[in-house]
Amino acid sequence: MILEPIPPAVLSVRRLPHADPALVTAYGGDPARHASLGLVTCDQDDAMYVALDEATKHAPVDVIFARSFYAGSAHASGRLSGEILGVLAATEPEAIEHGLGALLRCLAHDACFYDADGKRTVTVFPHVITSLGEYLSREAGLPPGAPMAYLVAPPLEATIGLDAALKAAEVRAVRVVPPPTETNFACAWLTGSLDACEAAALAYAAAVVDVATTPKR
Amino acid sequence: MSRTRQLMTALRDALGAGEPLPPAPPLPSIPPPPARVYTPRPERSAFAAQAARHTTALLGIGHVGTRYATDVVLQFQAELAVAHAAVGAELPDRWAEDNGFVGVTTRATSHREFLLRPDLGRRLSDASLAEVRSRCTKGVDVQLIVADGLSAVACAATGKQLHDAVARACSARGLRVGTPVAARFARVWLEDEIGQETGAKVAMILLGERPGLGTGDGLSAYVVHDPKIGNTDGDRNMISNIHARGTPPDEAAARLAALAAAMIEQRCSGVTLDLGRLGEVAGGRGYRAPQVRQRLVSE
Repeated sequence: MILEPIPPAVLSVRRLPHADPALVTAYGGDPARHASLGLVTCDQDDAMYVALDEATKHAPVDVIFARSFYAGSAHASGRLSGEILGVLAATEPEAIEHGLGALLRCLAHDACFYDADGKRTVTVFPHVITSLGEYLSREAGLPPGAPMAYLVAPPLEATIGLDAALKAAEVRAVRVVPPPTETNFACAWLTGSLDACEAAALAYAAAVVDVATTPKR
Repeated sequence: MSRTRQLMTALRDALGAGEPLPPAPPLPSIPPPPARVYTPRPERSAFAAQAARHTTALLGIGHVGTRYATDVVLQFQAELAVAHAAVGAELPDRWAEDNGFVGVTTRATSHREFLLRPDLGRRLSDASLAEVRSRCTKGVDVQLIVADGLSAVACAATGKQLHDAVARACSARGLRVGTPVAARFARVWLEDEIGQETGAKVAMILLGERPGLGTGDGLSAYVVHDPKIGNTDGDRNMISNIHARGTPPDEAAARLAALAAAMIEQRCSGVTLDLGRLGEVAGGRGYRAPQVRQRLVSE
């Protein structure tokens, strides 16, 4: 069905209440502050980035590691690998618990890809973050609390979609990743007022659906 | 509900997609805070101790140096969380129909829009207006409306109970009660439009009130004579804090029926209504038993 949400599958969730400092350093954390880790794999990388950011809004946790795997979940290295490994870090295991709770809630009810052609062979991620958390605001160079449209689609669809999104509202591009990303998609982060971000995401999704139904014109 | 999912559902409808979406997974329910019996702290001031026994306000809470005690701060935060959860809650989708009401909605299309745009919550949507015109009995004495207001938690918990009690009390006074209506995303002034459409003499909206500390379950009732769009708050009488620790629903129902009867007799409401002729039933200034603050956190 067109624009039906495709729920992300959480493939593994594990805690490391007291990780070895060498491990924490290797994954980009600070052993002085990051004793406790929470690790999650999921089959949708962009939903996970949004969910990791959501976790930083609910608990004193840092996202020390989040990387997409090459070619995406259809070509994963194992049954539990999915498309991304995200690592939350905190001083206390309790903070990790609350962070993981927010992260899983976001994956179950908020962030997800949408079916763009009714057969799930073209998908689109036209997500509006109403207020950025500490993680994505740092990645995007925006103040925490700013709204952002997080837009992902396959290469050509994303190109047409981004043009439509930029022309639909008073938004500016914070980051544009032309294809291919690690998972062979293309990605764009836009910011502006919340209404503008919503209008941009709608225009993006509509354009991707249009390309998916009429690929040659 | 997630903002992005709302946007995509709207876009999907705009693109004219046919079949309905599969239902979304249910949100986890918000666990109620643990209720504990308040153990009064040893109070040195007899006046503060006595005053605190007569209110649920934070009185006689002591201090540690220049600060509040930790358990007082935790209590405050727990009560604030109850209020936040109540404002954020929404009525279940088929609540009105399941409880035998005519379900209507306002011009607010989402809960977020409802919170940000009070004006949209005061008018019926076009579909609901047609629904009210076709399904509600015209020319009744009292039109009752149950609504979510700012606390769907309160509406879902005691809305039906209060409605039934008020309907019984009005019928006992010989007043004809209209078709029960339950409104979603509604503000107080919605009663003017519904009352005007049904031609009721008195409209009464029972809705979740803006939660205070620890009272996410309070209902308010606003009563207006000759409901019509353009009435102001000066034309209304109201009873607030209808919950177990304030005015119990059954007692509130008796007062509301007395108010409605008085309005029909005096043909006015609000500041011009003579409450002195109502007597004790309308909430006289008699003795009120001391209220006890519910303790929400352990020491």
